[in-house]
Amino acid sequence: MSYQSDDVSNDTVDSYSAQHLDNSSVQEANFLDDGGSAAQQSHSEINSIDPYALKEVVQRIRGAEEPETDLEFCYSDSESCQEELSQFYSYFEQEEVLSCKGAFLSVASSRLSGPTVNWCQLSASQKKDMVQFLLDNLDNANRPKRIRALQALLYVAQGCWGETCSQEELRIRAKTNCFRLLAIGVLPFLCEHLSRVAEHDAYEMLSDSQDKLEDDQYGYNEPTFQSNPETRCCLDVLYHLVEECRRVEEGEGEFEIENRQRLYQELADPMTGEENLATLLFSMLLRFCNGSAPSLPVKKVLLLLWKVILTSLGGTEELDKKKRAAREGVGLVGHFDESRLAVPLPDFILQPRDPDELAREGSRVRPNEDGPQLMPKIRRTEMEAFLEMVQSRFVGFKCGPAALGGELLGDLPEAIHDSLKVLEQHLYIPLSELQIEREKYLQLIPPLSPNLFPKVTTPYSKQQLDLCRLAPSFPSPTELLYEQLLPQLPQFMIALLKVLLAATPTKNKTESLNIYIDVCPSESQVNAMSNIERRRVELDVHRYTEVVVKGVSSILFLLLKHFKLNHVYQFEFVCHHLVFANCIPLILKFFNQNLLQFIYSKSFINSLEYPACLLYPPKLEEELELGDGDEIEEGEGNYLSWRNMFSCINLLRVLQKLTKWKPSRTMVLVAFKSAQILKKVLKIRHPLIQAYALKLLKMQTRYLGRNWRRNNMKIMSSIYQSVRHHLHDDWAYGNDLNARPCDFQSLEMSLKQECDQFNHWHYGLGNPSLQNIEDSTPDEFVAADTNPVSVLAEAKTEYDEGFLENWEKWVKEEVVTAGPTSRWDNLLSY
Amino acid sequence: MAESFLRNRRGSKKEDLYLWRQYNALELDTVLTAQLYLQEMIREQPNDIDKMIECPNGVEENLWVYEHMRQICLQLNALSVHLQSCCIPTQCVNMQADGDEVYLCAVHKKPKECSAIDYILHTLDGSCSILNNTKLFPSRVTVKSGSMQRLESTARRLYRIFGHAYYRHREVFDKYESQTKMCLRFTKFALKYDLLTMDSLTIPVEISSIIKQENNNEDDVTDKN
Repeated sequence: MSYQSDDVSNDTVDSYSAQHLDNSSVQEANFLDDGGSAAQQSHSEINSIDPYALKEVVQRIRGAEEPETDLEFCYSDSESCQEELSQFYSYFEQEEVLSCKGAFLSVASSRLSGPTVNWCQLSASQKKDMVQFLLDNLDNANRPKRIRALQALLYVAQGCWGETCSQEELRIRAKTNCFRLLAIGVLPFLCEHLSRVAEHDAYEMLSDSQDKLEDDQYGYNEPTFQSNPETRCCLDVLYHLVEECRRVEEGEGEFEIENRQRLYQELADPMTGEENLATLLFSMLLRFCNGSAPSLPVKKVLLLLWKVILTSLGGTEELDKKKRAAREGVGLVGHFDESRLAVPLPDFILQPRDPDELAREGSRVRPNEDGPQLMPKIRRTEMEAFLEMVQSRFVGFKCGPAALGGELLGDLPEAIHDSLKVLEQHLYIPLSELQIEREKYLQLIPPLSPNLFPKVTTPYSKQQLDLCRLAPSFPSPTELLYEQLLPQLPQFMIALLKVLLAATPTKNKTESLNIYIDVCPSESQVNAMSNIERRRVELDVHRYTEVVVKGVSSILFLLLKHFKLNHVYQFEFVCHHLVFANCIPLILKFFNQNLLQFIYSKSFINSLEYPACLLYPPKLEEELELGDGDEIEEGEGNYLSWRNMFSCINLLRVLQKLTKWKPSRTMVLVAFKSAQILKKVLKIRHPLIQAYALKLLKMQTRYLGRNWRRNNMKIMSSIYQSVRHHLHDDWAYGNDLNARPCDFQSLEMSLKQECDQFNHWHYGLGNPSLQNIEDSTPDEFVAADTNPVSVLAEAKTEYDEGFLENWEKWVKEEVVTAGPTSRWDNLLSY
Repeated sequence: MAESFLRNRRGSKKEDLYLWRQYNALELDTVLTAQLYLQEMIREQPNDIDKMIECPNGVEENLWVYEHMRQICLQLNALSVHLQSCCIPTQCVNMQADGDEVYLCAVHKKPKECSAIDYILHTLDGSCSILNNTKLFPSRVTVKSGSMQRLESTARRLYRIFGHAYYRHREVFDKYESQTKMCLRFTKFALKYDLLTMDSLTIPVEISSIIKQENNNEDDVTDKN
């Protein structure tokens, strides 16, 4: 079977899996070997064999090999504000950020004509005036002047670190300043400026490459760090504003709360045209990926995009709340708590396999005593299948789904009644089922009589289905985002995946984008560096890559989660394009690295992190010493990288979301030997990671064959223990006989068609199934033209002779002579 | 004549314009109350600027500012017509006001240094499209406070038009100003509603009355430092 689709095949992320499933296993083996060998290498871009790096790698592996207890890691939407801000800057930028202070002082002293300007001592109106003056400067034609103004704004947003030397105080000041900037209205203005500048930087770079700007301090010859100072600075300020103001903290006044509302509003508002900030960032990303703007600082774009999505759509807590509300809204009760998943696995799973031991362990498998068991679920379709089965066995004919109500069950044995009762207790109706049912009947409503409820066999009432419609008058932020992304959604998804691929350590290096523009000096500079400096750059690149993965993974995760909740077809549409862009093999490829090394990677230097490097700028020698000594390598035994754990969990969950209940996609997992990779993932001793890895394993066990199951009894039993059961799901024993390739193809296709229909119905996007008809009879589907001007211009109206003879006379008498006294209004009332 | 027809008929002579019966705009049952009231005031008492910018009872302040901005855009078109005869693209190659600063035309996707007259026309068009954006300003009865900040940047850009006229085409400016008092009205209005700050003013108008207001407005509850 082939996943080549008509329109996206040219853009697929990576060619390695273009025709994967029907080919021989040689290809698959290649893929794994390739990844495996690459993982052994140090996975940074600048790849010289460096004794320090080698030592570090060895120590990390040694230190990380045998974790004894569960990892201490708590999943949340993001790290602390400080960490998040710090990761926004690469070490390479330090000098530039340091220059902000000078920019601010020079602008401020020119404005206020004081010798030294202290932001804190300015009055409120002076501050406002200063900010407006800076904004005014952004319209200036002089580029360095604009950059200076942006830097000054950045300095204010950072909390004016020149005026204090305590980190704690800086944090408070930064927050206050950001709220003030927000209140003055900096955000929409900057968004607008960003949309101009992002084009501009790229444009200047392409058009003025050689001649015009030789003497300019910002060269445009090749995409380097220097070619995007304005975009970068603009993103910096925006990021500070969003990141500082989105966090709800205790003890906030009305001012903060009010301005946070304003932030939500402004992120949703369109800028100059129709698009809002999130859409702008997506299109920036797209331009970066298709090569028309190679100089964009992609990490910053990603991080800002992530935060914008997180702010406007909400994080996990918000999601949970929304889900409850949505389910209650349509009268579905029962919310199965997912957080109970976090039960640690029994120890034996991590020990070496030994048949005798296994037998002993197997006998000891016990129900989990630590927490309550997950309540098993059953889907309506499964229940119906069961009912059909018993009916055909005992009654001899099928009554269809209507029988679920209970009228036709009389003749069945008592035991069946009991089991149906039990099943009903565990029946779980997902919101998506209602949404799908509603779409089904929407498609059947004749367009001219919308009040007719067509006769569809659906287990739900019209009222219930109507409740889960998309509210058109007050579109939620999710709905707004979907609407805006829709025209280019496939390309956006591909762009995200391309960046993820470029940041995957096991990639083929030649194929990918260069995402390292704002972290890497040019090659000649690197060559001129000392070993230690080079080491620092290497570490910086490493850190940068991790942050990019973190950004992409959480954007994907949030988008899937929110679209799923908003409407299942929105979710399916996104999923479909992700799958066709080879997202599944890509994520597997990502996990096919040395994961333990990845989660224990300690790629940072404390003194170079963001506020510290400004408050106490490390002298060159100190910095060198740091790089030189063993400090970086040693750390405290097992330093666990929060961001890498976070990325792992997000990617696993994305993978699970893509493949859940989709046999066709599960087959992709099987074809790429994901079981082997997932087994390695299980070595990370964290309940969440293990739970999702087990879920992914569970869905494919039936395809893996009896041998695999026999050899992996430990995994089977831990799935049994810690993954929720579906009654009637014979995952452990069944050999799926329906697993025929043609079925999968048609499954994907019908899903795609349903999504297209959904998009056509709700967003007027061209419906491919109608395309042929439109070609033949164009008039039928075009809206009637009701504009009098164009209708009159087009049609040759034929006037009768009487009119043609007399109209001049009429105008003369009735209009010209009668003049303003004529009662035109009366004419209308006839 | 039906009272609801408060508009000039096609073909009316100049002296017949606006000759409809007296009415009190604030009592009319229409969504355009604020605009009608403002326009009436501009016609009836063109010199009483303080009253003109005072927000009337029963009208939301945000809406009042918004209506003023609409009106200013409308009336600034007249200035651009006057300027067209003397502000020639070959002479005013760039948009400049008091100093040497050259301003970028903010309307384009790729920032351009348009000639002054182009800048003026583009900025007026851009401002109109912002003011008519139904997502930002969906209603003529109430304006959400989030959208108000768009007006600030619009005001800053419009003010540059005055600046250009004042410093580069003084004759036209003086003639226009004596007829309409637009610059004075705009300055007072923008200061009163915090769209511009005192220090960003570049055109000397009768500031004495403004300063008084400024002192009254001295803020600020938001200052925490």
